[in-house]
Amino acid sequence: MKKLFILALVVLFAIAAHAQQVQQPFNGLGLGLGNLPTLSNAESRSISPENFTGEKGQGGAAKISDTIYPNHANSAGSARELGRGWKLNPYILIKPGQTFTLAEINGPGAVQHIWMTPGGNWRLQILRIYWDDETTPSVECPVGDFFGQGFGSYAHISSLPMAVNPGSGFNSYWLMPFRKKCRITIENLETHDNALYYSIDYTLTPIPKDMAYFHAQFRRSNPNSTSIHTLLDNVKGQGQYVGTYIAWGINNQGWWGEGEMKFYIDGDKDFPTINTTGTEDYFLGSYGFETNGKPTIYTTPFSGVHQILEPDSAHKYRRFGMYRWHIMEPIRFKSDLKVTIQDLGWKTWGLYLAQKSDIASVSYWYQTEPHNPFPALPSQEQLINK
Amino acid sequence: MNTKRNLIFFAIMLLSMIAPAVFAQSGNNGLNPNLSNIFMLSDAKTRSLSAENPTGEKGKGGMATTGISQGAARELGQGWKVNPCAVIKGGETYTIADLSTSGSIQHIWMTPTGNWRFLILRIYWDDETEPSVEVPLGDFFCMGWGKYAPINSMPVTVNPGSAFNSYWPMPFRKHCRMTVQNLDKDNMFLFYQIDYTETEVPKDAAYFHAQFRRSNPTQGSIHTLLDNVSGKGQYVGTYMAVGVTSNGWWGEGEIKFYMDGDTKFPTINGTGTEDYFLGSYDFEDPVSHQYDTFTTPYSGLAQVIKPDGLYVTQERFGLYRWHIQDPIRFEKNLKVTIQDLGWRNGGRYLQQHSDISTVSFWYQTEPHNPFPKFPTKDELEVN
Repeated sequence: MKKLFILALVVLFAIAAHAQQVQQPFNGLGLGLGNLPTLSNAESRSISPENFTGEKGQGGAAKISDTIYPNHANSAGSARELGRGWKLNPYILIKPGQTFTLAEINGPGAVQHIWMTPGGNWRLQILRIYWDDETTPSVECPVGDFFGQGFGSYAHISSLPMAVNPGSGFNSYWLMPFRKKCRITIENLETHDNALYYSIDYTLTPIPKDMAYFHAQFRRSNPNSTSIHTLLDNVKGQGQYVGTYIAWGINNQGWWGEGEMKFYIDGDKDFPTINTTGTEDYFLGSYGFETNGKPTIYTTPFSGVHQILEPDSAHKYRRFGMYRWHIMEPIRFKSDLKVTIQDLGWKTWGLYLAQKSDIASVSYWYQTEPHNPFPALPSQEQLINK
Repeated sequence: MNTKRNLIFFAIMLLSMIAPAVFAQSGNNGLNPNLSNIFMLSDAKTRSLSAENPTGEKGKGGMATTGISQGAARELGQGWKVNPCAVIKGGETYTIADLSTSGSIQHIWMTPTGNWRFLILRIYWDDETEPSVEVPLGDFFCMGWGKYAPINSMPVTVNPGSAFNSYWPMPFRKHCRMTVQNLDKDNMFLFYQIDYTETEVPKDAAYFHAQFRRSNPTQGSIHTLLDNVSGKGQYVGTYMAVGVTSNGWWGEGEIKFYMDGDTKFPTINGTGTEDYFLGSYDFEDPVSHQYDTFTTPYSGLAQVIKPDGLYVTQERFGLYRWHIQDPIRFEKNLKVTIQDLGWRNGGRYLQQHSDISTVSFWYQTEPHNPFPKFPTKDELEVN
């Protein structure tokens, strides 16, 4: 009888466990048009200067008298007749040298969308993101480059994970899950105050075990003395490489984009596993991006040459802003990853030219933590010199 | 005896383990198709409604022998585009879908003639008497000003000459009824195609809703997009048609999402109108100093109508923002407002009196609270 009782318990337990498994509620992640009708217990929140903590029922609650606190009622003057609730603090001012914490969120949850419009020189505002309790950032990147605007002037992007809209609205839809904590900061390296309007839309929900953390790293070779630009190396962990932005300044005549992108995966040494056929090929164009004798601007869901700057007084040759997202074909690695691109053009007589271009890149990837610390961010001088 | 009993119990245990697994693998209901799973098989059935097959019935497409184009087809006969469109008489409410099944609307294409503000789209889910969608056709497809502007977004595209497309998924369990009411005097022609799937709808799928509101002019410089929404769901999109009535930059107003009992202050508070629509700094092109229109998967300033120096005296804007990756979920209730705010001298905010029309798109459990009384024809009119 006792045996029977135990057996019955086991059966009940099995039924309950499976029922739970089958009816597990939707966590609200992995969104697309198709599952938009699906209900979820995930909570939607948003952090902006109008609600620094994202707390429920606390949006736009600044008072005129909050002007005594820095960045708490920056537009109190404009709202002086209308009062509370009328846009008292839509932006922050970041002082020279200051690192401002845009968001500090207790998880578990995921950042779903970031919108911002920074003032000043976009190369000298450094975006950093820290996951859980890590001390070295998983994202460290000038804010302009993070949003494909490395040359400091606006260029429209209409893609799946990123959009940049008039006048200078920067949008990221990279999903950024975290388990304990998310901290997002921005550092103003300039010698004057800079205004920043921003909002960070996120969701509070359990994060499945197999979700990796978002990473983005900036690098610049100027000039690229070896003719090989390293986008990433010393990446350790399991994950997937999901995107590249390059701001490419040319330092010679002729077609400049013969260089091949190389992905060294899981112990590859002399030769990579994935080797592309040319720079414009990697960015999903071809034959010099040329139509009617000129390179052509395009912006599509997965890739683009969204910016072409013609020569000016400071730049003798054209400069190109390009992106490639690996959404349907992420490059997965089990233990390590290194990514390089050759800087290759043409000499006369059909000979390749090892170029010395100005190449700045941002690599976007997901990986397990801990990540290897990034190389030191270039100095202010190295960030902005021509 | 004991062994036999044990065997029975083991059998039950085994069944209890296998049954849910079988259930879980009973497969792809076909409701979440995307590039990553488009190769998956499904038992979902694909059907389509149009004037050529108004019931969607299998094997019944293009059967008409009489219809609007019977003259053109008089030599070719049945099967040769005899009835490609619906004619909706002045004042008539025409049913374009009446489906008794469980399934989901996956795509709507239509191209209406006439005044797009005077054609009212209504959708009723299951057996509800109050519509879940009640919006002028133009506004539903982000064309509130009655003039074409291309839209290239994920859930809505508008293509040349005036082709309106919706990809909002609209699941239903028992019944779907979709009507178009013609408030105008004259007949209008409606070419339409409603692509849907017949399949089982999971328990946690909510119903699609869309509501139109117009403040002309705004009262107290606050336009309410939605209030009195009760139920659990997610807000997924906004279309806004703004007609300004004062000079200067008009888009300082903040959008506010009051959810789940928020009273004085909302949980989600925007930082400015152009910010909510994912642009910035007045959407201004720094070189031409003109508005720079754009249309992306998630947002756009799709339309700017400029005065022409004679009879077009007002500047008008069409904007959209979809919350596909960042839906705004609510447990119990929701209210959404936007301020109508510009600038006056002395660096002071100006409370404007703009003409603001909006469509709010959301999903929620039924029953929904009835919508506010729909505007009259005169209140709808764009002039």
